Amino acid sequence: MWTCVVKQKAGCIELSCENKRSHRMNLLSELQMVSCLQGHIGADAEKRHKKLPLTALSQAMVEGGNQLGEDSLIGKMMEVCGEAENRLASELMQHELQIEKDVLDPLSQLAEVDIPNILKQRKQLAKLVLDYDSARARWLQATKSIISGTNTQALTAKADLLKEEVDEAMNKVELCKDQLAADMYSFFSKEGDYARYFVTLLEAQADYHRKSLTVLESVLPTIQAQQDSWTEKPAFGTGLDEHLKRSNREIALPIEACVMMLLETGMKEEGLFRIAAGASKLKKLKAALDCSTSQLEEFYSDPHAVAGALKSYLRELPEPLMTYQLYDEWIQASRQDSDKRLQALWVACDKLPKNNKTNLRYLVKFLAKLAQESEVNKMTPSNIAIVLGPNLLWAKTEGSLAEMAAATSVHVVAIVEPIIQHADWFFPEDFYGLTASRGHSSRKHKSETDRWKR
Amino acid sequence: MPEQSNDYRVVVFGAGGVGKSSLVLRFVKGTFRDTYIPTVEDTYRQVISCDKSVCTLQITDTTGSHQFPAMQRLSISKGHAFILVYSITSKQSLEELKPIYQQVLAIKGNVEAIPIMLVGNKSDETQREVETKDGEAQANQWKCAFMETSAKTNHNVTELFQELLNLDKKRNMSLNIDGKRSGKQSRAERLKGKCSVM
Repeated sequence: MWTCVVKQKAGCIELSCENKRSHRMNLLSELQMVSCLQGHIGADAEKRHKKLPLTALSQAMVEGGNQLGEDSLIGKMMEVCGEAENRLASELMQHELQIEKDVLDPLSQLAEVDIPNILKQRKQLAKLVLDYDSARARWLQATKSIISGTNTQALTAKADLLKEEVDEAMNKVELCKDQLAADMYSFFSKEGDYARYFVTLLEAQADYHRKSLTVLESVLPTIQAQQDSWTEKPAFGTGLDEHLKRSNREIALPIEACVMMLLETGMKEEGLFRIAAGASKLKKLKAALDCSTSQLEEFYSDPHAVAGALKSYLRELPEPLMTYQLYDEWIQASRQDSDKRLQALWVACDKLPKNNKTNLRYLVKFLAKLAQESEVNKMTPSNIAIVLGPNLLWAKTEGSLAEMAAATSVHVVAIVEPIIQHADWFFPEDFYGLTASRGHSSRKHKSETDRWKR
Repeated sequence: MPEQSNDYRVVVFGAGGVGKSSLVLRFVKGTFRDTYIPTVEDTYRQVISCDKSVCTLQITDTTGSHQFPAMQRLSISKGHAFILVYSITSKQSLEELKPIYQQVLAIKGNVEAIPIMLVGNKSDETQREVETKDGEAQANQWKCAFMETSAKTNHNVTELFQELLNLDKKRNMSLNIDGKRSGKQSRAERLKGKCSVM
């Protein structure tokens, strides 16, 4: 019977031992959770908000934005972004407050009060069991000595005394065990509630992320719209239509800026468009044109760099100014005999999309003007066509075969040269102050070829 | 890789207006034109002797006014030897050769076995911007040969091509064929002249 009780006790102790381990884990996970929080435990909301890294980021952005000012896109963006980060920070702060109230506090109650209580009682129980065991050992010893001893009466009295002690110890053990069991049952009965906190934790986190996402999603359209409304995108490498639309221009900025500069200082420069420009100057000018600065004065003295930038711009267009669409038609036209060729070229030219036609007209009128100075600058329509033509039209597959590329170059000269030669027949009206060229041959051609136009 | 072993291909590179065409025309036709016409791309052929036999020296005169990377890469990969021309009157024209040399290096890998000649043209001009020693220094850096020429006064032109052929150690080449004057064998084929075909 005794052994049975002891075993029962041992079982109880084992049980609580296991519990203890899991309680330890509870404690650990609680600590872990605390360290996950970015704010300071216990601090009030205001203070917490200030201490969050997100708040610091937000403040840095807003400050940076203020320094750059409203005129700067990055400044504006930084302000919008800073506000968004601030809202995220306040969401985070509220989330952490809620977690602390709904999850951490109850869990710490569990870890710091309920479980230690149970542990304390379990310790107590162990001690009482020990007391009982020693009392029982002493009583057993006494009973044995009654049998072998002489002073039976005295010994029996002692044994009875010891037996009382044993019973008392047993009683205490039972009491403590009942208390412990009651506490543990009550703990087990509340286990569901404790477990619930973990659900609450994840729910709170989900809620926090949803709220943050809402904040981000409400900001994204605003900031994207800001980005889209920004017109000053690099001109080089951007499609002609897109560039014109963004900058609200009729003539692409690099074309107009370069032509203006060349009209001023480049018209008498020998080998304009042929001679290579200084690489660093060219790079600088291209970058300056890309951010549409008006500080281009220094380039007036370097017409080759200006011509180089213009060539680069044309070459870097995603599609040639004279279009891929009409490539075959241009090439076909160039194979015709002179008068028929002019007519075919005129037809192809008329098919150009509006923006391409406008810009080509502007460029050709300028080139015709440049060719008028060929006595000095040596750039005849033919020479201009050789050095600039391949920047106006190229095949989509250029580069696959040298022959093809070379052939294109030859054809392009046969296309571009007559257009420059007869610029005022192709584009009769004055345009941007670029008047029709005064070449005699084109005058003559005009009367000859006018009937085809009708 | 060059596919026709019978052709020896020389490619002439250089910025616009440095005199690539003038050098080639002076060499092939013995003439000098004072006109001002940029080149699209021309190819000239001339028979030379090579390893006791004859082969065709094919000279490609490239355009200097607009670089098309794809075409340039193709010319380099097909070429056996390269002439890099600048004008002694333009520091910039020497600068322009640097990316071209880098391109040759990138495509050919090891340039030491490839004949490359750095040429300072227009040596007759008095308004010099690039000193002879500057050209030599550049050639040293590139481990290639160097020469100053004048297509106008026919200074060093034939020497330039002979020297270039001598640089190729894998073949034994000479401009002269069994004592006959090579000029008579020359046959110029200008791409522009073939427009009727296209």
